[in-house]
Amino acid sequence: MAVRLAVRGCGVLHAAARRSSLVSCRRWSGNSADTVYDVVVSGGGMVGAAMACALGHDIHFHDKKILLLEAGPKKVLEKLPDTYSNRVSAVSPGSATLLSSFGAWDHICSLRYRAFRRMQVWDGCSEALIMFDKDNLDDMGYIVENDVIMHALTEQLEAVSDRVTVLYRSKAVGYSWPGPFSVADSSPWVHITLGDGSNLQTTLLIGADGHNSGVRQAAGIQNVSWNYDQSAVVATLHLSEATENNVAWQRFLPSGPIALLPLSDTLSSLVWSTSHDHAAQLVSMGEEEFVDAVNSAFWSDANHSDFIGSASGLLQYALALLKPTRAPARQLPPSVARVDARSRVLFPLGLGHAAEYVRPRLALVGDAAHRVHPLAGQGVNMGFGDVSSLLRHLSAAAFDGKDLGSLSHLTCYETDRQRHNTALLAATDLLKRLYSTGAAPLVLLRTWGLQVTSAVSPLKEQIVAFASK
Amino acid sequence: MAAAAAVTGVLGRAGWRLLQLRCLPVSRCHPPPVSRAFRASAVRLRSSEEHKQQPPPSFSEQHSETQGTEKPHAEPPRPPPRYTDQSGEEEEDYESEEQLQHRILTAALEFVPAHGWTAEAIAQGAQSLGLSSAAASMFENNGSELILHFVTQCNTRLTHILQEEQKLVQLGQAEKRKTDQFLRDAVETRLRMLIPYIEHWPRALSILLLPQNIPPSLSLLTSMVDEMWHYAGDQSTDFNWYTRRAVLAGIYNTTELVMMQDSSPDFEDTWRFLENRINDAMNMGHTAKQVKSTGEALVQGLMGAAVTLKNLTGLNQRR
Repeated sequence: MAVRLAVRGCGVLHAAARRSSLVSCRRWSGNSADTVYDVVVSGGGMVGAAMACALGHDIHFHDKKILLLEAGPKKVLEKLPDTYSNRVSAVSPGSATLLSSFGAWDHICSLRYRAFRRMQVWDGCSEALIMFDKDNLDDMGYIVENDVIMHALTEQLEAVSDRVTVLYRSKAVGYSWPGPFSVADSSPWVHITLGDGSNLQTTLLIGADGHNSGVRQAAGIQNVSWNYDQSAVVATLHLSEATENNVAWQRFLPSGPIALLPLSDTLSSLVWSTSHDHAAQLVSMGEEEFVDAVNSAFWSDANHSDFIGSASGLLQYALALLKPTRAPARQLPPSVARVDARSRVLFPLGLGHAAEYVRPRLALVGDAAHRVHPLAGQGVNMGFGDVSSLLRHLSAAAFDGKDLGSLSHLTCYETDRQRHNTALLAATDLLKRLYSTGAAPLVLLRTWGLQVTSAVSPLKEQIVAFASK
Repeated sequence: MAAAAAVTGVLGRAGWRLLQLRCLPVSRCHPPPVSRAFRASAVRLRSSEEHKQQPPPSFSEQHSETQGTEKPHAEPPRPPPRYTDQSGEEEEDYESEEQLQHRILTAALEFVPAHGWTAEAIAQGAQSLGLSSAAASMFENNGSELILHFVTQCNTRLTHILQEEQKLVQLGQAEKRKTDQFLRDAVETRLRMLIPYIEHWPRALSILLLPQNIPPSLSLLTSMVDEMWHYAGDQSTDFNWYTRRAVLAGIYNTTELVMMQDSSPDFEDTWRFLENRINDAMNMGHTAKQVKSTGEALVQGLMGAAVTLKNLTGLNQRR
């Protein structure tokens, strides 16, 4: 007990010393004319806009002033375009709950989205496959275009424009935090300098500005990051024949995973993570060639080897003896006929993890705090999870009348989300590395692992539950 | 009676001590031979330095400080204090003791292949100069001074060669070589000077390792290595200065040992060994840089992991 207290004491001193030395301590005797916002969200992407929206619709924030800073222009979607956008997200049921809590989900439903009920994941180097689905074939997740989500969030932001102000085309160029102790004539609030020279003050700054977060860099928060030697190619594909299309397909090739996400009965979205050279080739090759490449990636068994085949057959037989249920019926992915012109884009992939999510008067949400490989489709869901957790803590703090920028509830948010996010980051990185090779021992390991996971249904249910949060 | 005997005994011993003290000034005129020999060779080095056109700018020896102020042209060297002539007067072209020793040792080198590094060779050398063979008693019995003299002479020759090569490069008559090639040539040149004496060199090496010879031999080695690096173009001012010289000293010593055992024609195996060691040393620099950057990345990662762990366990709460 005494040891724990001593450790905590040391931790406090150490943390305070560290914080004071790292945080920039520019004192600002600002004009009293500057309004002090209660919360400023820097970055108006999906997660930042969701944060501002959620705070705006929260009943404990009814008398608070919230500001959302977005560097880009306002995107107005008068009419839904016929062509689907090539940037889509797999929204989990948990994120859908968050979005519906402030009414954005209704807008999405009125625009367009696609629910999928099953996910088939299989290996490129063996016959192992795993099928995820929920009991009664409930919706496992929803494929929604990013533009649609942004439009829905913008609509809801306008609905609470008395509390939430949105500044478009305004980029923050400087941040300064108050020092650890109060000095006379110094402001205890965070100061933000915008590109046009104006100053803002706020009690809490929420950084939602993406994986190259300026807020995180200004605060000096250590970011453990590395680039994967993979880029992701996205495209909108036309299927050769209309199907019910409520299954998400993912195949792990040695060069990287390729995924087909349903958009409509005839359209699917492609996300193919592969090496930089191959990605550049895919984006620049002709349409026919590209379609052939996609089809062969899903159908070809060039990487199969007899040894792995027989080893996996052996384990399958053993599992069938132990647990005589029918093996999951193997479905075949749909074949692709065409690709939408000008819908092929590539972007680089990497991993990022901020060691701390919070500082006094600062919280990070979304990609600013964590950046993940798209193989699990969890990037934006983790961001929405951050939003809902932070909302819960801030709402409780506002109800208690606490200082919103106080560390006491921010650290609860940090512990809560880091437990979830770090596990998911580690698991995704491990899967990426495990499936990036064609070496026989690792292929055998992952084949058997997949078969065992597939056979043990409680484990599968746990995975689905974790991913749906 | 017994007390009186004891007192006289003490007084007698005290008296003997006083006598010894009186004798001391006589013996102090002749300092121990080895350090004198070292000073002799050092003085020889200094006098040979004076004959050079330009003294090398960086020199690890302590007497380099005195170099800068001396004129480039050859001058008769200031005779060091001489112990033989007490009158204080000098005759013209009177040879100092050190110069004499230098001449004898140089002459003795001719006889080393026949007699080895022994007093016999020195005696023969003295005789060849027309001096009595008893002159060999001026030197140490085990031949250390002869060996140190030889090493000093080789180093001087090497410096001379390196300087000449540098002049050629500066005049544009020769190509500037890359560092590893330059060092390879320099070490090879220096080791080739051992070839005439290679039969007896192992004994010479073991004599150089005697405790009383280690300071001078180490100093000669370091100054040679410093010269080589200086002419190779090393201008480092950080810890690299030390690591480079240490590495080259290691390469030189190991190659010398290999040469002792080498029986291939024209010592080809030795030169191949030298080439490999120099390549290893060059690669070591690259690896060190990579290890450093990996180490830094690792430390960053560990710190991030520690902070995350603190957050995960909830130890961040009481902040």
